[in-house]
Order: sequence, then structure tokens, then C-alpha cells
Amino acid sequence: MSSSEKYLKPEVLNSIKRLDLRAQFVVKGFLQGLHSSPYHGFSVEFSEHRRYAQGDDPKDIDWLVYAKTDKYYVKKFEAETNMTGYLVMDLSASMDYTYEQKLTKFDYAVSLAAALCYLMISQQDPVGLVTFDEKLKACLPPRSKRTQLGALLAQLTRLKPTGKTDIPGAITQLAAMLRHKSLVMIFSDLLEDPEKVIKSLRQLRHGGHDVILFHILDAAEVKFPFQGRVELHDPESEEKMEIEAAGMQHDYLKAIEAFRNEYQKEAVKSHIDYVPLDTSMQFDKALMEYLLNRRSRF
Amino acid sequence: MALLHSSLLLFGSLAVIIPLVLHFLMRKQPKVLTFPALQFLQKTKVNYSQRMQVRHWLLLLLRMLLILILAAALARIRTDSILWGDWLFVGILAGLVLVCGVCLLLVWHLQKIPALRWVLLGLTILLLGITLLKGWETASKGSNKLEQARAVPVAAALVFDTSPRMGYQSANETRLQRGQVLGREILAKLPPESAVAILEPRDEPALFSPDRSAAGRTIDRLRPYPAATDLSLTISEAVRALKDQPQAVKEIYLFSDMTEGAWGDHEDRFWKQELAEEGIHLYILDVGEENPQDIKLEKVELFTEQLSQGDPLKIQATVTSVAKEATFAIELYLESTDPTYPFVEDDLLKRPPPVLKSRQEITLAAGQKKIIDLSPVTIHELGEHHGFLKVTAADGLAWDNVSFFSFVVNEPWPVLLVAPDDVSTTFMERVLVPDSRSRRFQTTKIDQARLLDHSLSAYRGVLMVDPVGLDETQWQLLHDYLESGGQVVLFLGRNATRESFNSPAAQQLLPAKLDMKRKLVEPIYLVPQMAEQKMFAPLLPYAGSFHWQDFPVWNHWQMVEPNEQTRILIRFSDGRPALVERPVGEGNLLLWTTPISETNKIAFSRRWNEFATSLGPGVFVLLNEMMRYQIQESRESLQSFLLQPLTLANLADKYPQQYTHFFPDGTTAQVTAEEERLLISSFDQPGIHYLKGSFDGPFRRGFSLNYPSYASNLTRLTPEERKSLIASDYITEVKSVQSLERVVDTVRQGKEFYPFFAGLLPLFLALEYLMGAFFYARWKGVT
Repeated sequence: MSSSEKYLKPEVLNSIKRLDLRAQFVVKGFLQGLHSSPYHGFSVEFSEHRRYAQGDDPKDIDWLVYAKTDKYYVKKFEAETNMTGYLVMDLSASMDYTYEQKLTKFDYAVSLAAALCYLMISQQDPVGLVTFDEKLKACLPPRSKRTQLGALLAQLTRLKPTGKTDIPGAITQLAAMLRHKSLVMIFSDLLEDPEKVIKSLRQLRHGGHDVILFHILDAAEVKFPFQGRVELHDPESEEKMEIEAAGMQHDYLKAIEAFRNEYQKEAVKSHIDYVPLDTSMQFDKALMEYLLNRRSRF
Repeated sequence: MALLHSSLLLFGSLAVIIPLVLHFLMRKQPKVLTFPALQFLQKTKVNYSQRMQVRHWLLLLLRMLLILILAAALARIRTDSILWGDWLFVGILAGLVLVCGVCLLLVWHLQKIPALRWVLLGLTILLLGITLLKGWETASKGSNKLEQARAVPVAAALVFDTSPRMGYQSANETRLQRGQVLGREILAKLPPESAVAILEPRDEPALFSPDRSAAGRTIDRLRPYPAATDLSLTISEAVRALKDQPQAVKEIYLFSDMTEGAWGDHEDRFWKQELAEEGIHLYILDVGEENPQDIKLEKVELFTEQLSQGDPLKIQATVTSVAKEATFAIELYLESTDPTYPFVEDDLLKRPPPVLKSRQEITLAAGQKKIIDLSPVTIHELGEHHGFLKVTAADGLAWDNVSFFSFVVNEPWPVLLVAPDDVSTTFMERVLVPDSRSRRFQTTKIDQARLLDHSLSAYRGVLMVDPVGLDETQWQLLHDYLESGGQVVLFLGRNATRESFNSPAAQQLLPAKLDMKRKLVEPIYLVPQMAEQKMFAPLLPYAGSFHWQDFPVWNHWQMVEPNEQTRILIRFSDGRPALVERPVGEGNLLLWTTPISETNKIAFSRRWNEFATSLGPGVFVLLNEMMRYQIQESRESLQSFLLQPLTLANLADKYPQQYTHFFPDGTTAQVTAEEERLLISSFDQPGIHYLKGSFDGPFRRGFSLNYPSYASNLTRLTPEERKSLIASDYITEVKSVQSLERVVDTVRQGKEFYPFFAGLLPLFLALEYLMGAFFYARWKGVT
């Protein structure tokens, strides 16, 4: 099974199609939004005129057309250059986990990444891939060709999430590696010391990169649905713990909520887009919701 | 405090370890799962473990408490006093409040489940409220408990000692009548609807009934019962019957004179343990006399029950004075032998009129015992005679002043004396018929060679003096004679031969085989142990006057291989047997290992012994008693004690086969002989019993029954024995109904805890369910 078939299945493609249509608009808008602030006035190309509608910025009114037609038209612009996107994938063993869900966290991340890659390439934005565990691993340089999607997915299919991870180290390394301001989309479960991860994210943000943090957890990690006596085993640290599941659920949920909140707070503070996800959510819907939400902010 | 089924409670209490054991045994192996987000659990694990431990202990505590409550409910815990019980109840409630409070605090601090918190809070407040209310009520209304206790129906067994001793009279009433008065008083004071049973020492079951008037009538009907059994058995029966009664308060009231005879051995007092186990209170009402005064005929013995015509009737009586110095007379009465007596005339029993035969004045100091030999009375009339001895003293217990006896005056007993022609039987003839006036035996002497010519059945006994060897036919003749009840005495001497005496035919009846003749240089002599042999009992008072060394023995037969029924009656001074006995069929064979035919005609050096030649009376008297016993006393006795079976021979050709039995109290019954025997058993009336029938005209037989001597034992239990008897929380001895009431009021106010624990049980079951559900997260969102 090719990587495209695996991650872009017919039923998913259906959804992606819809996503594509909507996302195309949204992504354009999203990218425009992104670009509008730093490149406003000189790095955009005129696209078309349209009638002024209430809510449009008055400064966009084309006064020449007004003079000629006595009607208000606004100018529409199209970005001339786009941001380079980097899909940053966590390859730790914990990402290869699922409990009663179809997709592992890694599969879920890849699906998300594929969708984003598809959307970016379709608007000629270059997209690259960076993977990491304890350090940066395979990298795919950013391209905006149509073949990039296949190459990127092929690369991801070859990778197997195993071993330990060092998220802060990898992000710090990535921050040092990126020369131009880029859109960095991180896909990870972030099961590390949040303090260190946040510190590294600040470094990345300090480099002027736009950061979207897709925090992907398994549904079981979010809801803790276990019952009775269970012995839990951490695939990364190899640690074990025997507990009465029902008794621990309350405390666990509090802890995981605090964990997510910590990232949420830091994201607000550092202008990072923090997207908490779990594998029980349909990734296309989740993505769409996020993108719509993001668009509304720009 | 308390009566409780301690074993059940103990067992129940031990059951609290069940939850503990289950807790450890039922731990399942955990399910192994991969879970990457372990770090979040590690942070909370310490808190979690502590909380889980608290939950564990809470649930465990609750379950153990539940089992304890169940055990306490099933053990039917109750206290002796309602007041005591109420305070204990308040204490238990306070304990529960404490437990609930601690649980509440723990749950409040550690959990966020309002349901359990509110349930526990509600329960604690409820229990606290009840505790305060009950405490206030107990403190302020304690005095009303007595009235309440008096209204609760009880199960009461009234046990009356109806032994003959209770017939002791003082202050115009017998001990039993005193007990009956007290019994009726107690009966009247029992709470309404109480179940009552009246018991006396008979082998009868206890029957409980709420009908108090019937119980009163039963008390009124009680009379001294001659065959009363041990009180221990009656109390055991009362305990057994009370076990099945539903009433919470169970009581036994015992009316007894508290004498030694009323109580069995200490080993028999197993009912004391049962009283404690069943929570039954025994109240002993002592109706006895502190210093009873009684003259009693303790023991009356006839020298023989089989007299020969013209023989004197000799009676020895033991008379005792209990705590009284007295001068009185002992009178000997004989009832008329007219066979038409007794008969019923105008619904009255006409008994044979007694005739005073002798009277003897006696003076006894207090506590003195005297053996009196009554003046002999010569009886000429043949047949059965019945009479009684009577002490003329007036005392508390009348029935032990009389003792009944029976005896028979016989014609001289025919005895066949068999000896070889050359053997002298002179000495033996003198023994049997000492003088011309003696009518005890009538002897016939024959030559041994002519033994087969005689019918032995005509003789009561056969004496063979120094017989020569018998042939098989002769042995068989003797064997048949013995089988049919004949008595044979063999004196072995120089004529005996081992061939004949050890032959199979001889060994059918002989006590042992003959070994060797033993010839001694130094003579041996007889050593009769008179105290051990009933046969020689009449000689016992004179035992010291006989000089057995005057009767040396130089020769005797040695015996080997004795029959298993053989008994040695007299030994020689070297321990070898001199006289041995073997029962054969209905008869008895005595064998002397040395003869009585060694007269002066035999040279001194050849004599086997000096029995017939010595001048002393020893052997003469010994043989006389032996023959008297062997021939006469082997007949059945006409005397017995109450309830002891008595068998009388009733040959079809000599006696009627059907009789009317006239009891001493005037009642009658029909008796029929079976297999030529009359079996008299289980008679409980002392006195002379007559059996009247018809056999060529009116025919009368009879026998006499007496109380056993211990029945009149009025000796009170010593303080130590009393202390040992009542040494139990469940036995109380009282003197009056008033003091009894006080004791009973205290005891009866017991409190039953069963309803309380039974009510608490569902409450705690529900709590356990809630806790369990909470603990095991049976509810959604419990955690």
C-alpha cells in the first residue's frame, strides 16, 4: 500500500476534498492573514475588484475606480510569495500508541500533516518535513511541487516511531537550523517536562517563526477509561505501575488538564497556536475547526 | 452481666477475619496495559495510595462491624438486668456514633461524593439522637423497669422433691406440704401468660402449660413418692424442656429439704453447665429442717429367711437416733397366716391382723446407733410368715420406724449321705443333726455302691464323704441332679482316684481336675475369710473364738485346671484351696479337698486331718453353717427393696398360676405365673405384699418391700457441699418467697439485645453496599 493510499483513503479523501475546497479558501486566507501584517503594501499582487461591502476596510477602497464609476470598489490582492512550512514530527515510541482507536497518535499526526501538506502545496507554498526523536532525524527540504506530497508521505511511511524522545533538544536544534522565518507545525504528544519544552518553543518563537503546536494525545490518555486493577507500562521509560484505575481516574484527569492548560497559557503568552487534539476526534474536522478559528483571529 | 451463647459469639467474632482473608485471597492479577502518559499517574500516586488505604480500611472496618453485629444478634446477647442492659445499649450506641463519626470525617476530607457524606452524616446524627434520648430515658425512668419486668411472661418449671424424706413432719406440716404452700405462692406471683410445668423426681417428661389452675391442682396432688429418683435427673429434664420454651426468661424453682440423699454425685451435676448455657435461673427453696429429730430402723436382718420347724426366729436391728435422746420400744409383730386374708370388705382392705410377738425397751443418746438382737421367737407353724418391726418413738419421719420382713418355716430338709461302706460318716451326721431336738435336716445314709438305686430328686442335698471313683453313669446322675437344682457336697479323701475324678463325665460337674495328693510334714490349717463369704456371715461375730490351728491338715488333694466358674471359698494357711464351689445348672457343687471322715479309728499317722477328732467347735460350726446355707439359703428370698425386681418360683404342681396382688395401700392387681415363675418388678410401695390365689382352697403367698436405708438419710448438706452446689451465677438459694421475689425481680429484668442488633443489621448492610459501590465504582461518576 502506497503512502498516499494509506493516509489519503477514499473516505478520507472525500473529507479532504471538502476540506480542500474550504481549506483552499481558508488556507489562502490563512496565509494571506499571516502575510498581511509583515508584507502589507509591497509584497502583494493585485488580483481583482469587487463591490465594497459593509465591513470591508475603507482603506482598501480603490479611489480611482470610484472616480471613474462613482461606485465603491475594493481592491483584492494575492500573495506574491508564500511562507515556507515545516512539518515537525515526533518519532518517540509513545507516539505509536493507541487504545481502542483506529489510529495511533503517529498515524493521526501523519494524517493531519498530509492534509496540511496537501493544502499548502495546492497553493504553491513550499513544505518540508523534519522528524525527531532524541535528536533531529530525516529531513525533507521544502518544495512546493505537486510531487512533494508523495515524497513527504513516502518518507513518513518509512519511519517507525520507536525509542525515547528529547522534544526540547530537537526544537532547539530546529530553531538553530531554520534561517528564514517559517511556519513550524509541530506534531507531538509532548510527554516530556513541559517547562523544558516551553523554553525551547520560546526559542523557536524568538527566531521569528510562526509556530503551530498540534498536541496529539490518544483518547485513552485524555479520558482514562480503564476499570479495575491494571498494571500500566510506559513504552519509553519502561516503567510500570499497578493501580486501581477507577480510583486514579479523577487525579489523572486533573493532571492531564493541568498539563494541557500549562501549554495553553504559554501558547497565549508566546503567540503560539496550541491545538489540543485526541485521536478520537476526526482529524479533518478538527483541522477545519482550528483553521476557521485561526482565520477569525487574523 | 450476661447470659450469652458465648461459643456462638466467639465463633461469630472470629468470623470477622473472613473479610481480611478474602481481602488478601481474592486479589485479582492486574490487567497489563501500555500507557505512555504514566508520568501524570506517578505524580498523584502517593495521594492516591493513602486515600485507597483509608477506603480499604473503612470498608474493611464496616464489614467486620457488620459480622460482629450479625454474630451478636445470633448469639442472642442479653443482660441480667434491664437497667444494666439499657446502659449497655447506650454504650453500644455511643460506640456506633463514634465509628460513624470517624467514617464521616474520613469521607468528608478525602472524598467528594456528597451522597455518601450525607448518608453518613444523617446516620451519625440519627444515632447520636437515639443515644442521647436513650441515655436520658435510662437515667430518668429506671424505676419503671421493675413493673415492666414483672409483666413479661416467663417459662417456669416448679420442681418438688417428693422423696419419702419430704414426709418429715414438723410444726404440723410435712416438708412437702411446706413446699406445696410455697409453690402455690410462687405460682400466683408468676406474670400472666407464663408457661408452667410441675415436676417431681419421677421418670416423667416435663409438660408446660399456661393453665395455672391446673398447675395448682397438680401441686395439691403431690405426695411423697417412695421410688423418687435423684433430683439431678429431674432438674436435667426441666432444663431440657425449658430449652424449647419461647419465653426469654426461663426459671426453675426447686423445693427440697437439701439433704445428702437428694443430690447425686458431683459428677452428675452436668445440668449446672446447661443452666449457664441456656440462661436458665435455678432458685432453690430450702424447706428442710435445720435439726431434724428422728429415730429410725436403719437395718433389719434376719439370721435366716428359711427356718426349720421349731427353730427360733432371730432378728438383728440397727437403730439410730438422729439428734434426739430417746427411750422407746422395738416391737416385733407377725401377721396372721390365715390364707383367707387379705380380702376386701365394704370397700376396705382387711389385712391379716398383726400379733405382737416381742417387745424390747431401748434408750439411745442423741446421734447414737445401736445394734439390737431381738429376743428369739420360736415358730412352729409351717409355711410363709410375714411381719414387721416397729419403733414406738414419735418423731418427724414415721415411715422409717417400721421395717417389714418375710420368712419361711420349713419341714426338715432331706439330705442323702453317701459314703463307701468302710468310711465313717458319724461326724457329718452329728453336724447335720446335733441333737434329737434339731429339725433342720433329716439324713439318710447309703452305701456308695447303691447310689444308682436311689432317686436323688427326693433329697434337697447329697453329701458324698470320701467317695471312691464313680463310674460314668453315677457322674451323669449327679450332673442331672445338679442341673435340676440339687445341692452336692463332695469331701475328697484317700479313696478318690484321678482316673475317675478327672474323667470327662466327672469334669462336667467338678470345679477342677485332681492333681496329686499332698502330704505335709508341717501341718496346715483352714483360714476362712468369714467377712468375704455370705455363707459364713452368721459366724462373723464369733470369728475370734475359733482356733483353726486346732484342726491341722496333713493331707489334701491339689487341684489344677479349674473351671472358669469355679470360686475358692476357703483356703489353707499356705494359700491352697480347701473348699471350692462350682455352679452347675440350677444347683451348686461344693468340693472339699480334704475329708471329714478321719476318726479315731484311723491311726494318727495316717490321718489326713483332725477335723473329726479335734475337740474344738470350729469345723463343726463351719460345716453346719455351710450346710444350712447350701441347702436352705439357696432358696429365693421373700424380701427386697423398693423398685428392685423380685422373682419367685411358682411350680405348677405346688402353686396357683394366677394371683390377686394386694398392695399395702389396698389396691389390687392380677398376676399370672409365666414359665413357673412370678416376676415382681417396679413396685414402689413399701410393706407386705400378698399374692392370693386358689389351689385346693385359698392359697396365699407374700413378700415384703422396704425402703433402702439411705432413703431416710436426713443429714443436711454441709456448708461446703451447699457452697459447691450453688456455685454458679444461675443458682440462687432462698429461704422465703419474699427474699425470692427480690432476687427474681433483679434477675428477671434482663434485656434482650437481639431486636436491636437485628434492626441494626439492615442499616449497616445498606451502608456497606453504599461504601462498596463507592469503593468499587459501581456508580457512574462515583470518582
